[in-house]
Amino acid sequence: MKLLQPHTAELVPGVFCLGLGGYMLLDVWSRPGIATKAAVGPGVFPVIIGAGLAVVGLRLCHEAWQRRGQGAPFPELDIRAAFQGALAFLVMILTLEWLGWVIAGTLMYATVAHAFGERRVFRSLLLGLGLTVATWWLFDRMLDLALPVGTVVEQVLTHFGYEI
Amino acid sequence: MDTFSALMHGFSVATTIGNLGWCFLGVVLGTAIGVLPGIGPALTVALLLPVTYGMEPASAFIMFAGIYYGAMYGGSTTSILLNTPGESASIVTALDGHAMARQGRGAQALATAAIGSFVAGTIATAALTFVAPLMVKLALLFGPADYFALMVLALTTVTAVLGDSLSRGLASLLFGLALGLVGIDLQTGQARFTLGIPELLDGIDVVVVAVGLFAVGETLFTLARHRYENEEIYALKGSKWMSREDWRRSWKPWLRGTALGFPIGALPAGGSEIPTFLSYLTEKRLSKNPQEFGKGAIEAVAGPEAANNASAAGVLAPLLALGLPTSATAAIMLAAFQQYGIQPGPTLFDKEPELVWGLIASLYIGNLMLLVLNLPLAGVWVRILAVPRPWLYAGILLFATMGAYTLNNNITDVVLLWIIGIVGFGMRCFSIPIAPCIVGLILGPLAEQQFRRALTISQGDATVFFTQPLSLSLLLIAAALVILPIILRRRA
Repeated sequence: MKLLQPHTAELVPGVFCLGLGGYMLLDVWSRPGIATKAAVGPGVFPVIIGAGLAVVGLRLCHEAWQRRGQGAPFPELDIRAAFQGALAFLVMILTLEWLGWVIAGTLMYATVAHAFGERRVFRSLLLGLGLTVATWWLFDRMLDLALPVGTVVEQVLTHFGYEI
Repeated sequence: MDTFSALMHGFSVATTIGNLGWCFLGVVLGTAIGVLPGIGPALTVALLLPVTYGMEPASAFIMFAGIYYGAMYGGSTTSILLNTPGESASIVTALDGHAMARQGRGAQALATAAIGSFVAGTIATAALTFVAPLMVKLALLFGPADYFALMVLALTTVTAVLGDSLSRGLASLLFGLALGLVGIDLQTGQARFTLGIPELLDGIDVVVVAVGLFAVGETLFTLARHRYENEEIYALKGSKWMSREDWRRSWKPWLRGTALGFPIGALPAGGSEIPTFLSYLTEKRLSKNPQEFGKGAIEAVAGPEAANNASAAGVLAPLLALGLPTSATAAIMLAAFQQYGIQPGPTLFDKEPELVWGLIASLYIGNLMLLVLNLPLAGVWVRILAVPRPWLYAGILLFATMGAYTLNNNITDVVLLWIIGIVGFGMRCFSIPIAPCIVGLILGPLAEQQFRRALTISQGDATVFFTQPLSLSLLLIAAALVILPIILRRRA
């Protein structure tokens, strides 16, 4: 699966830096001036860094353009697997406060393991469950760090008479 | 209080049962983490930051130092047996160490690495004991302009010396500096680049960035490369002990590695990559059989491993005495100091003698523990390598989420973690170094503070950085570090 031609892909870091630098400069310029007695206002460092990013971005684009496929071969990447992992991670984040640490974490664990080629899904689910329950017990109960129980889980538990 | 009695006091802090326990936990965790490919000490310390919030600062730092040292030991195991360096400082070890493992001399390679690390670590810790107070005296001469110049020097070296492309290093550094700007400007109260998100007013936590780049980005990259990588672990077999010949060939490289590692680590030039490479080249030049190098010469394992550990102690000198981190792990440790409301720097030795000297004393003890843990138990650590990759990396993502979520108990940090993880994946794909970004993020706000302070004192006169001898010379060195390699490359 190829999203971009290799030599087009090499432009990505340059364009990213250029965009970020441009955004920073625009943001500083569009801000109203601030009355301060200090010799250096809050905008000086952002301008230096923004300008630096823009220059480095241009330079990276230039280098990528000069190489145009003749540079070092790009490492082979299985983008589909990385995408599955990134998506599983995002889904967990978005459902974390809703499904809770144990369920959202277990599902993410098994999906990422699957993306790595682990086909024993049931075993991955069990391992994920073990890990999330153990970490929840250790960190939430013993070390007083709050991990989300999950609003849905909480309702179900209260329904059956458990208090968390 | 002179250095010696201060150190003795430090030992009394470090040898309490509790602190010995934290030191032990640190070195065990550190070794395990160093052995696992892909995760390093910076990530581990970052993940443990929320957990240590309720601990005594001295105990927390004793554990962190144990992790740092332990990871240096563990990293060599992975390079030797798997040819996958666990952290960048072990890249050189992998060259000959792995060749030795292929010839069935893996145990000897591990032994010379462990004993060399012990020798180097102990000598370098002794050097740290005496150099750090001297550095404090020097630091007291520094004004804001000099501090700013020193930070510029540190940022330049982290960027220019590591990696092979200056523009890529700069891109990483500037990205880190940009992330460091997010939040309320402390002098004027203006919100910068917060995108209207209230959680961003406090800035982006260095833990989120470190975990995002190292854990999430690394996991996604491993995921993308998994199908194409073939891992082969070489089992340990034959005699476990070093022969007389091995000892004879190892002891000089250990000492030379230490002599290279500590000073370079202690300079604000920092890092452990340069001394390990230098040690390799030195040993090759001095060897009677340079043709053996690359094919399993024991000197090429002994020297770089000693240099690697000595530089780890060296890096602590500018961190403690100047508040200047020169590696990603040191940057995270600086963030840990800030978490406790402690500012490393010249005043640290006066204000927190228990912490500083307890920490230094624990390094001696940790080194000894590591030697005992690593020589007879090498086989146990090897077994960690057998954890199936799918389960290992899925677990790393779980711990990453936990580390980010428990910082402030909000989902914003975890969403940020995801975004930065994607950026980290991109950085890995385009081989953009990660350390400059972390060091930039943590040093950027400090540098800005000194920059503005210096200009306020000089009433806006920007020549202040060039008229003071200290500041001028530091800036000149920084400039030379960028320009010299370019000139040398043109000539070559």
